[in-house]
Amino acid sequence: MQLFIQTVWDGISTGAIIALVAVGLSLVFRISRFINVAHVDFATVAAYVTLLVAGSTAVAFPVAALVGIGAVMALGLLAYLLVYRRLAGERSISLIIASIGVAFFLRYLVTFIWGSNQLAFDLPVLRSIRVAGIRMAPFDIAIIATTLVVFAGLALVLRFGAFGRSLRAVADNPELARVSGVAVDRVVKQMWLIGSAFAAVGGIALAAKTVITPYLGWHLLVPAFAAMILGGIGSVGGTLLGALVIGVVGELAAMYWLPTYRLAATFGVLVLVLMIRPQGLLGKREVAR
Amino acid sequence: MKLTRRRLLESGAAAGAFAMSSAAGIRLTVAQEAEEIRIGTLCPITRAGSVFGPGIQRGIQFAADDINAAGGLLGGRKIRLFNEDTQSDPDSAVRAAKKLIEINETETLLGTWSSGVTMAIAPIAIEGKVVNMNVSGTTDLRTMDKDEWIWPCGGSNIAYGKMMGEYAIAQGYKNASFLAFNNPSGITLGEEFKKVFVDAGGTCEVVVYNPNQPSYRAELTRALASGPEVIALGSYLPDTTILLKEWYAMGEPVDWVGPIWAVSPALIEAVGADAAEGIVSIGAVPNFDSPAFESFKERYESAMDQPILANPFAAIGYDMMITCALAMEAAGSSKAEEFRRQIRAVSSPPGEKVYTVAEALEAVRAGTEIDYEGVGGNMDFDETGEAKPYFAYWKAEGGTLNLKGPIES
Repeated sequence: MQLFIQTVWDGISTGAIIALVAVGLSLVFRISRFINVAHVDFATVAAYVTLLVAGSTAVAFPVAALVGIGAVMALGLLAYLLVYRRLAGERSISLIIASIGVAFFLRYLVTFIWGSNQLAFDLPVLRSIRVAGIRMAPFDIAIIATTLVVFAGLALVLRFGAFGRSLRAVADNPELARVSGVAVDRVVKQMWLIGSAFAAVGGIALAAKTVITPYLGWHLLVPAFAAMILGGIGSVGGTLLGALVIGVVGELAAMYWLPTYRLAATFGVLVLVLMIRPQGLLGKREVAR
Repeated sequence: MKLTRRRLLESGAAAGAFAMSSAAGIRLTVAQEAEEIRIGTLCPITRAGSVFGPGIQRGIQFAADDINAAGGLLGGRKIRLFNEDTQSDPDSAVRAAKKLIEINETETLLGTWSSGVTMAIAPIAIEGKVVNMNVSGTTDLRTMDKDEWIWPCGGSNIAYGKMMGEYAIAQGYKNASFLAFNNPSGITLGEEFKKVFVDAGGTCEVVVYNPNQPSYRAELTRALASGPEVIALGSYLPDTTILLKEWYAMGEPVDWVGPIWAVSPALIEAVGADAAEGIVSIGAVPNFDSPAFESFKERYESAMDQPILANPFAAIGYDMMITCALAMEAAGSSKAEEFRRQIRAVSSPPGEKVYTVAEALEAVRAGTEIDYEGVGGNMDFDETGEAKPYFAYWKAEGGTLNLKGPIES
């Protein structure tokens, strides 16, 4: 039982990072209607920028992380203005292909500047603390807490804030929103800033947990995509739930089945859920109006 | 571009001039170099293998210089090297190999690194009747039908797995776990480690994992479940870094041993001195006992500005060139078709042990049966055509990886 709870906890800590990256992917999808493949490379760029700032000056790591997040927010907005906005109205496949182009550009830019050898943040590795016999790494506690706080904040903003109302209006029907006086372009820009910020936080967290390579974020694309689908596209709470399920199922499969079947197990669950609930765990069914 | 009559005349004249000059150039080169022995070096100068490639190429160059200084081969013919870069990439390596064989007319390709590269050029070498010596580790190179064209000299995964197993047994460990990266390299290392370890009376649980995961907790928990005294690794640097960080955070005491490409100074830098403390690395080392080693070490270190231990393949590169040269002298021919049958004879027992180029050449010319002992290894090719280097172990102590001593097999 103890091993089971430990495994679930470990899965939650992985799921938290997946959730941070996946929610940005989901936000972009909700309003721009395409899968921004480059989203996970935004996460990679955040890790490198953070490393650059933390490594070259005496600023503390949190400050460096803030710079990394800011830089990637600017990057996300820039990608929207230079690439995606120009393709607005095209079929979503054109936008996906454009985003693959952006992804490759960013990955090779990072490789060109920093090389392909692994790098790492200069952070101490701390021993776990034991809570009721369960090992909890301080880093995992911090990342789970961060995830919960930012998700709660995002949920509140989306549900009650003016931005949330505008966002939902634009997501539902951009034309109707525009004639109703919503500044659609501004809402879309804000959404790109927020989505990119989530990619950045996820990327920095993943980099702190693992190592930094040009493929850092890329390896998260499939889990993040799966979490978004599983939770229900566009649902913030659903994305969090989906990511946690992906994390926990993967960890349980590795523990009780075979480590090499991690991904197979998570996709098995994904298929099962979608057979029963095609809209995902917390997603709403698309209805024609 | 608009093609005017004037432009046509200009380009025609230029092309003609070029054709004449290059034709003359080729004739001239062939005439001058008829007596030279053309050797191709095919090392990873750029990208992933660039930490080793330039050193290997330099080792081969030193050997060619030594042979030429000793008067050359086959009655005074000098060695001439043609250097190409594999770019650590099979596609580029294949293009470079074809260029060396077809344009430069070399019959010997020395210094390929990485199994993917060597496996890609091997069919070309065999088809083109060219000898290849490499430092690639895949066991496919042992089992393939290579008819003395292909010679792995850097230690296979089986050799590494065996050495890790023998090290663990020598330490008195009875219960081990093995964490294997899910590819042929990791799995072969694990199988061989387990075989050696279990044959000596130990027990070993092999846990195979997939790469590129954000977490390896379940894998670690499974590896720790049987209460091992040591966890051995068949892994690479990034996954080892993550595994070690997570293990240290877990706080479960166990010893670690891994291959030098994963447990390297870069690992210790990445995880920090505390998490790395005591981890053991197993890797190839040069032949410290060879009388020729010291002078090679000095020459290499001053030329490359790095310690000899940073690149054990460089000394093996030197041995590759010498071994081929001795085989040519013994065969009385620089044709790969003929000298490849002498490679094993001049480098492996039985025979009088020889260490320097000069004494080796003299002995071969006198008709003595020799066993060349290199500066990188003993170059004793086994029945599969593989030469195993010498192995030693390092231990992480206070943030540095210290060479502790040899592993005897």
